[in-house]
Amino acid sequence: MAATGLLDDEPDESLARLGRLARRLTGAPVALVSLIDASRQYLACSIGTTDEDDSNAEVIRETPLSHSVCQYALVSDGPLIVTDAHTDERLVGNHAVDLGVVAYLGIPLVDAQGNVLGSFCVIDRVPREWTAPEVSLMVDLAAAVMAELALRSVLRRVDLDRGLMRDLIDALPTFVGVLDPTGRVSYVNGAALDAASMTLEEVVGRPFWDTTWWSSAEASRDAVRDAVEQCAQGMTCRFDVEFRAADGPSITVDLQLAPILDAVGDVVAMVPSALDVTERMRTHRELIRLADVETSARLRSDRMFQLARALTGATDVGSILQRTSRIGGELAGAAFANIGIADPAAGEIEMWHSAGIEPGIKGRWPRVALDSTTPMGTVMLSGEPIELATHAAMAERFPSGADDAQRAGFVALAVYPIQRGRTAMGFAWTTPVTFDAEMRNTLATVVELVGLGLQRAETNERDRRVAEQLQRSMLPARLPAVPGVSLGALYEAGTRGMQIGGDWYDVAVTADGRVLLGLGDVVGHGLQAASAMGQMRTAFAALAPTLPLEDLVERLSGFSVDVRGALLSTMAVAEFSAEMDVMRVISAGHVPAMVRRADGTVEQLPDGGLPLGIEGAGRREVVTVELDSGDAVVLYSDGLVERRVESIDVGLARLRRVLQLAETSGGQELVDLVFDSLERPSADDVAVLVLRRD
Amino acid sequence: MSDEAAILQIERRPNGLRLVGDIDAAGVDVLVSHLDPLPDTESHIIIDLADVTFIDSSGFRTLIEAHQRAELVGRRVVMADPSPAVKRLFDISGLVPYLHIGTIDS
Repeated sequence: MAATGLLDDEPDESLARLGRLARRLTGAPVALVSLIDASRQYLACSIGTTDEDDSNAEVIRETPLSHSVCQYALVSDGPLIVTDAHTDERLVGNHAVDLGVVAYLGIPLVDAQGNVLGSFCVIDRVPREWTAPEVSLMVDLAAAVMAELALRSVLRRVDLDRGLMRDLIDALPTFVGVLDPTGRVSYVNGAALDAASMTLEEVVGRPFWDTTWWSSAEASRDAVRDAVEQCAQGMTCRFDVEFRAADGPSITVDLQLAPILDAVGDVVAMVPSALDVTERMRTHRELIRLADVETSARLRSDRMFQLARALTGATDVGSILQRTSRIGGELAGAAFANIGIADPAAGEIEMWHSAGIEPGIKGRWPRVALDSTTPMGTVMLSGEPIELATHAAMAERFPSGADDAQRAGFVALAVYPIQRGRTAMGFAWTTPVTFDAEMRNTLATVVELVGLGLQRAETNERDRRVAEQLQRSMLPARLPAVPGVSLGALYEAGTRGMQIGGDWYDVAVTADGRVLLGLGDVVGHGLQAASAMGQMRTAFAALAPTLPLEDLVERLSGFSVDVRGALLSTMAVAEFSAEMDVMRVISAGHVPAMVRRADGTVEQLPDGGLPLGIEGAGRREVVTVELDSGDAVVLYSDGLVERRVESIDVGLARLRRVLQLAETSGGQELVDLVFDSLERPSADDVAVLVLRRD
Repeated sequence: MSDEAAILQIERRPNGLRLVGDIDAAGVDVLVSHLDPLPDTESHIIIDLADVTFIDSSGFRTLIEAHQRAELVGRRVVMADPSPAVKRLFDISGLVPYLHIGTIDS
């Protein structure tokens, strides 16, 4: 829990975004990420917790455990669903009802080690039945919360020595300082000094509240003095206050004063830190405006849930857009949607256009200018949405583009910012539109969902690149040279988001001249799968030269039980002995190996036995095939043949046809020819391994 | 898109679950959360697969684990009415003799 750093940190935008989504999609007034340590409950994001005045959202930061419902979610294995806290016997004696917690839907937040860190919940002030789609949605969103928390704890593990600490504080773009226990300034960083055009000598030794930073209003001075007094008693204080910069207007900062305690609990120093929240307050007001017009009944529509669910699985910009444009477009009645990603170095915006329009239009705006001549550029720069309901409105605002758009069939458009200066989303209609409260709410929600998806995509892309490098580094750099046979292999990473799989292959040669081929597919994706495939390949390479084929499979099956992520993976192994003229093949739940004869006939070997890690149904069957000169055996992973929209037999037939026509004399040529002849499957990774007898 | 994923939808039934769409990496977390609190009054848990269009390796893992957990406590998970295409995926995965594959009525 402490490792996430959230007990001390400011509320986080990603968590707040997830909280907003949960509220929007369920229509519940409150969403919380509760993190619990020994004695208190910490609310990492608590939008709309206070009753009437939403501008005080995020006010309740800690509550004693006696007021917590979330503690019950921690001990229940799955979702905690409370329809009415007044009558729920689990909550007898709990004071949460006093705080207005009547209906509750909470999902435990569990880390990879199985520790329960807290819960993610939505709360209503009146009794309600939570629906199955709402529970599913919350489970999805809780997984996203967990991913955010995991990222934070990694960042926090970065250990810094004290010398670096001073440099680090000075390098921070935000105000950070140190006060002595009486509240006098001991040190402040460069950002703080620059803001007031002062030197360190001028401020050291002065009472913190009596500095120019708080001199714009008597009230600011008083608030800071009160906070210093409280902090000197060991309390952390945090509030928004007017900050006077040396030049320019005053701004609002989020000021935190945190005590540093020694071993016996005395305050030895205080750390003030301040963040400019002028922008956040503006965004916040905008959100409140949108929340006001929420029509929660409509929001709970199936389509919106589908969109939220669809985006949970989307891991890159392309798939986010593909999934959003159809459902999001239907929701808003738009014919077309696009996402713009700023490329400030080029002064342009890279455009991702949705499917479902004529191809000519897609090519027309591959990139647009990042300036006020284009709708996308204007929105990126200003951070404000644009809504143009008719062709006339479009022509007035953007004379150069409106006619182009009309020729493409579009007479109304809206562009909403996702992240100011970086991303925005556009919608276009073929008929004029009324931008009423409902339409705005729909668009804002779609954009909010897309923003969340894009954020995940960024993290996933990083993870995917690391996993791919790791995976490539764990496959054999080259295959052994074996007299009498020609070997070939290929590995191609998945092309979409996190679809880095766990395909592996290797070749081993025994002392008596037998050749062993192994090719497997570890379940799952990402770093864990890459690591598991590495271990399976190493185990194959180590065991293959010394064991009979049957024993090798049994040992690898046993090994897979102990390798995190390797259980239930599939594998095909083949053993070729020139002396015997035969190939012996065992499949553990793997796609059937193919044998291509010298004359072009292709044999598909029978379906195999159980995947690795499952025992008790007898030994997996060994298939023996004769292998003469010019014959080749082909092992491959399911990514080569599998398509979601067709039976796997169709894919297998396609592979057999391609093999029939593949007239070559070398193993590697055969691999390349097969791979090039098959339409590239879109998502999964692909591995192929061939042995051809000379 | 020729292979666009069909998002997994889950309906709770008195004696199990009805699944619609693809059982894949994107859907298994939600599926697990529905498999855990299944009713413990029935000795057979029926997972209706008639409208499942595709199962990937993470989907198979989830079904196998549900099977194994049920066996431990003397219960049985029945994979009911898979379409011919999905049945072929069970064949190739080698799981047919291991899992209970049947029909809703049996």
